[in-house]
Amino acid sequence: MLFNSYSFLFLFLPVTLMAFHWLRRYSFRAGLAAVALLSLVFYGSWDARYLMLLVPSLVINYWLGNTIQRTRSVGWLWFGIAANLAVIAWFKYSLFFYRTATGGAEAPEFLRDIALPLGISFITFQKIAYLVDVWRGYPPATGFLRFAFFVLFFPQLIAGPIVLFRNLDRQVGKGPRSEARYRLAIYAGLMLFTVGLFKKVVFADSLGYFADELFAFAATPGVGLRASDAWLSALTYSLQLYFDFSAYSDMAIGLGWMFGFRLPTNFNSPYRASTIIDFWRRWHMTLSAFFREYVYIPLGGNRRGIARQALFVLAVFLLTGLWHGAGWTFVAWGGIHGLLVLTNHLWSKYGFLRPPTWVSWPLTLIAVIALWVVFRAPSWAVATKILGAMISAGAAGTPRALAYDVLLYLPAWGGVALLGAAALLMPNSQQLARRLRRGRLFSSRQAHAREDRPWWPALATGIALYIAIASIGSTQTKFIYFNF
Amino acid sequence: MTRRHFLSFILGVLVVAATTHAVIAVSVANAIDPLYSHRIFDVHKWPGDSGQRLRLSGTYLRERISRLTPPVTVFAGSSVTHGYPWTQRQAFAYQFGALRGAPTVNAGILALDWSGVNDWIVCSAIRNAIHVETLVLEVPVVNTVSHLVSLDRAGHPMPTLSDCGDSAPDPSYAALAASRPLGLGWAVFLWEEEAYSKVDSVMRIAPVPAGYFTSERDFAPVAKTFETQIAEVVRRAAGVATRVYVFPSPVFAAGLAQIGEDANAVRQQMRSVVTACRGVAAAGCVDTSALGERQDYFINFTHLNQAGHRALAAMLHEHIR
Repeated sequence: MLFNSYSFLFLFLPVTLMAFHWLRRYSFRAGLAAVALLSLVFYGSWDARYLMLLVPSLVINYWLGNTIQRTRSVGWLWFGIAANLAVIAWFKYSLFFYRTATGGAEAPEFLRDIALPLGISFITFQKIAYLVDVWRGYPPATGFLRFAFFVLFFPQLIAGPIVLFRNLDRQVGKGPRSEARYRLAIYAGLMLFTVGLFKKVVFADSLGYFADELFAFAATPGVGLRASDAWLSALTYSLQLYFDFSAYSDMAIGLGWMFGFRLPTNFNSPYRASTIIDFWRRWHMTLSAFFREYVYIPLGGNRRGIARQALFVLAVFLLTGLWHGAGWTFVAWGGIHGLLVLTNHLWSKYGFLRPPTWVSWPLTLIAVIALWVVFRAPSWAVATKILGAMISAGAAGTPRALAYDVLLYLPAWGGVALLGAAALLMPNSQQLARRLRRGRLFSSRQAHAREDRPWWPALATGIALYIAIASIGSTQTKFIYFNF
Repeated sequence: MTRRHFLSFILGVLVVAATTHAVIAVSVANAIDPLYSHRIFDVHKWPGDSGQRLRLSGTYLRERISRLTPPVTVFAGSSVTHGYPWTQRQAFAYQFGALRGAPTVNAGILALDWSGVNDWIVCSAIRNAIHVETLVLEVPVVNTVSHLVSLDRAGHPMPTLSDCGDSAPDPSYAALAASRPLGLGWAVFLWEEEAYSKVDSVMRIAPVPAGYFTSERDFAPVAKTFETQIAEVVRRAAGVATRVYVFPSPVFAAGLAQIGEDANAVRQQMRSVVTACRGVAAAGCVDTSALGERQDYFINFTHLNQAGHRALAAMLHEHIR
């Protein structure tokens, strides 16, 4: 069930919201239990077989958390981490490892038939973070319900943001809020959800049409690419990915608000970053935070000399690449990002001249966009073909990819220009969220909003929600990060 | 947030959404006809199911014809009639209208076979109680024959054509737009991919996929069905037009031997169309095989270039006059 599907919008979400808000008036625990159970329906609607993995994993990790807390045993911690990684290794990487080990030999049927359970990368990381936190001394779940709610809470179940147990459970532990604050939460959550839905359906899916056409064209054997084709490919995908994933995060955060819970921010205008380190502080922030807190710093971070720091940075980014997908293009994408981040660290550490923003920002943006080509391309050969065309001299001339339909070519560039400007200049969802929260949302000082609410939120939400829902049509597209 | 403000926000969202829907529906209803004044839109891009899609041609015929002053000539057929890949004004239907000085309606739908012409155009006209002066039917020879042959090869019985049945009229543009909230889908649907004018070109002879044309041997078992169904639809079409004309879609038969195809088989199939047509007293039959001898009229074996469209328009105009 996609967030951008009619079954979710008109059935699952209203039913779950009503169930939670009705039950929590009598028992907050009952409300949580209803959301957890309905989240199982949400997850099982993709493929009920996935529940056979999710539910036992949930029980085992709950037990492991309690065992680690009780025994303080690092052995149990490593066992838990290994067990979770084994699951993801089997489902996500076994075919990749087999092909790598055998030099690309035809894999046995049972390996080819392994279906990737949705959201396994996100779910695994959340559980590992939970086990590590418990071992570090954070209190474990005080009951199975609270742990189950943390794992299953549907807004963040499939594609993040990567929520830490301690952050969500702190909110659960506070119990129900006042009716006025719940009303404000639904009001603000609906607006943020609408922003995300609009970004997904109107922006990301429109760009995706062009990106898919262009990358398919680039992958066609024997066809040459012009610079305009290559740049359009790179730009449409860069914007599609941003709008798609940030849309999911907005929707997830908005949904979290509707239930009175605050999920962490995941994007902060990443294409405004003026360095590659800055980019990673703005892009998929919860993943970066996970790797920093649970991999980089435990390895030693920058405390064990420059050589080891370099090694750790590269290791983290290679893992980041591999986390995104079982393929060498993902590894290369992560590895090159690692090298750039390392260069950035060294540049700062040794006090080289810091370039002005008008120099560093376009350089950073071009590097990020070029690396998205590696990320998106079906093979290294296609990636180098596109990258080669991007720096080729033949920038002029009709683009070959869309030459068949010249009328589609102008909207493609027009869309890139408009949406690129939006990504760079418009307030991002985090800023919007801050403004919405100024309406006392999650504030302990005042429990109700101003009486003189302006009319524009209803107008903007109504128009955006209608256009987004109407545009969903019969061809709902998955979120890109569902693949990871 | 007070309950009153919360409820007014929710109500406001719903009212604005409903208003947005109404504004878009009215805008779309008023935009379709000016955008497609000389040719039907690409019905295949409609995001609804095939039943809804089938009704679009009726909506188009009804709306378009209601805006024209008789005598009106309607052209029905496949991609040749549609004028693929040319603009609305470059298609022969428009050229015919210019020669005749009378309004025309181009109801050419991409990828139709003869049963499609029956279902999409003739039945739509009957369903909407349309009656025009002249109806010109293109028989998509290659599509229809290959479809019948594929069924025959698979051992399936020959299909029967829809008898059109009784059905309610199709919705108007306003009703269509109001009943289907498509949002951006309207832009996708109404985007005309052949809207920009292209330079005319002449075909280069290149092989076609195996089985694209049907041999005499394969055609023989389906020939009777082919002819019978042509006659059946033409008779039915006589109910929606004062005069009905039929022509086989032109094929560049003269070049087929160069790619190892059986030109005589294709010529025979085109003759079958004329033969079947002549069996219906009310119909006028146009033999377009002469066009098939001119490479400079084609962009590929089964589609005319702009010169070919002009030539076909002149041929039909001459015949119908």
